[in-house]
Amino acid sequence: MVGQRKWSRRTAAIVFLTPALLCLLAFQLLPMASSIIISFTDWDLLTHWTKMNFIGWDNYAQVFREEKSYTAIRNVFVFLLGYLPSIVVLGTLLAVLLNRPIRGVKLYRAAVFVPVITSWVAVSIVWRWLLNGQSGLINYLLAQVGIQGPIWLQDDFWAMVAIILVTLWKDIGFVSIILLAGLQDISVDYYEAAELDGASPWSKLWRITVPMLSPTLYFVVTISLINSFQLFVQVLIMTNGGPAGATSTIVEQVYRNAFQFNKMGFASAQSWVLLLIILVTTLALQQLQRRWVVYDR
Amino acid sequence: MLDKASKYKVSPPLNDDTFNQPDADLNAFVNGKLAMARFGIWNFAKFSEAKFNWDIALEPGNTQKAHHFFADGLVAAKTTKNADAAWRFLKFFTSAPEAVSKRIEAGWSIPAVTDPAVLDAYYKQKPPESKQVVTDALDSLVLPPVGPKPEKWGEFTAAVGEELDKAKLGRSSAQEALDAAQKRVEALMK
Repeated sequence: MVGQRKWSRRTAAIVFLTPALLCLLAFQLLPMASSIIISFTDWDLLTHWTKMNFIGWDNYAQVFREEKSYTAIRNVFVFLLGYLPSIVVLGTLLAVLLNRPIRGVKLYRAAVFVPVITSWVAVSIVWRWLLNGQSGLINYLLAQVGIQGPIWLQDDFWAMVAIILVTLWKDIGFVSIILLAGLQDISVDYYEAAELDGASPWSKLWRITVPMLSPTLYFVVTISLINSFQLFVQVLIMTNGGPAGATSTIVEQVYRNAFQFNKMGFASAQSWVLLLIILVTTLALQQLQRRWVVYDR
Repeated sequence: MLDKASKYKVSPPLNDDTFNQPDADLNAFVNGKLAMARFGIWNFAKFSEAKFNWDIALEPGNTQKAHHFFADGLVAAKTTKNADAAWRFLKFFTSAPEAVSKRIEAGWSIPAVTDPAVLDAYYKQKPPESKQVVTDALDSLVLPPVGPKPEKWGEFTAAVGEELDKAKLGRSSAQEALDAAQKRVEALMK
């Protein structure tokens, strides 16, 4: 039909994309652009936006002057130290297990993925109950085997440990499913050839699996790193950045400054500094990948 | 406060999760686990669930009594086109007999009237036996100072709270915590 032909692919694409693009513009691009402008002002959320004063680079200078910024960055690095190696190693191990021809493997794969699709808010609230120092299930179970559990979320050391463990539990499904896909991409020919040559399981792991999996590992490390820098919801709900600022993170500071202290300009500046940190780290990681990521198959 | 919890152990440990839950003190009192506590008068209804007799008293005070106080303020916009109607509504809402008796029935605040005949219904509503104490407290009320930088209130409380948390965790003494808090508040005032 003539009418159908007139509806070219291009028009159809525009028509179908417009709603999504409008949303992207309204809720992502515009706020991002305006946050650049706001970061150079003293806007306090309450005064009319036409009355905000431009104060140059003051907010950015303040970000680097404030002690709390360094506390937040240090906390994020402490988190990374515990989280990143664990998620990569445990995720890989889990992926290897899920790649085995065991009975009901599909069920296990689904089970591992359940925490990933659960809302962070709901999960954090449940974990706050489980980790309750006096009446939580975790400490009850620990007591059954003779360990007196700490008051997890009220202690400046254990609070961070708890955040790391809960985040591991939540994210491991995502990481292992990605790694599982990477594993399944490795041709069995390699293993068969190695078998003929009499290679040990250990050398098969280090000479075949790890190099062949390295592009996927690189992806997992990058994503986990970015997510770690954006650590927020679980902190807000489980510890509210406490006790005594022990779990305060960069995004938590941004949130607090913006919506509790009404320092919109300062919070915007902090967000852009965060972007810079993530950008630099990711670029550094990209430079490093040349040394360990194998792309030829 | 620190010593009560960690040295003499007469109050729950400060890192006790149970007492960080909302209304934990209220529930503890109602369950007979707390002998004395400071509450607002809007909690009286909850206390009626208690299986024991309870009453209220003015805080002893040191050399001078001082009591918290808060009021629900009703306002009309300065630029309202219906100033007269707004005034009549506010008057009805705060002092008309129908509204006043509803307020007393609900038991969450004292009507803003001075007529003893009207207030009588409030005092007669028991427990607590010493209902009169509620208005006696007004003789020694103190209002929190507002400012000098009300817009920084959130930052003040966060700074003080964080330093006090360090004392709770045993990372600093009460004196050190208060000194540090003072320093941080002074820095914010600049």
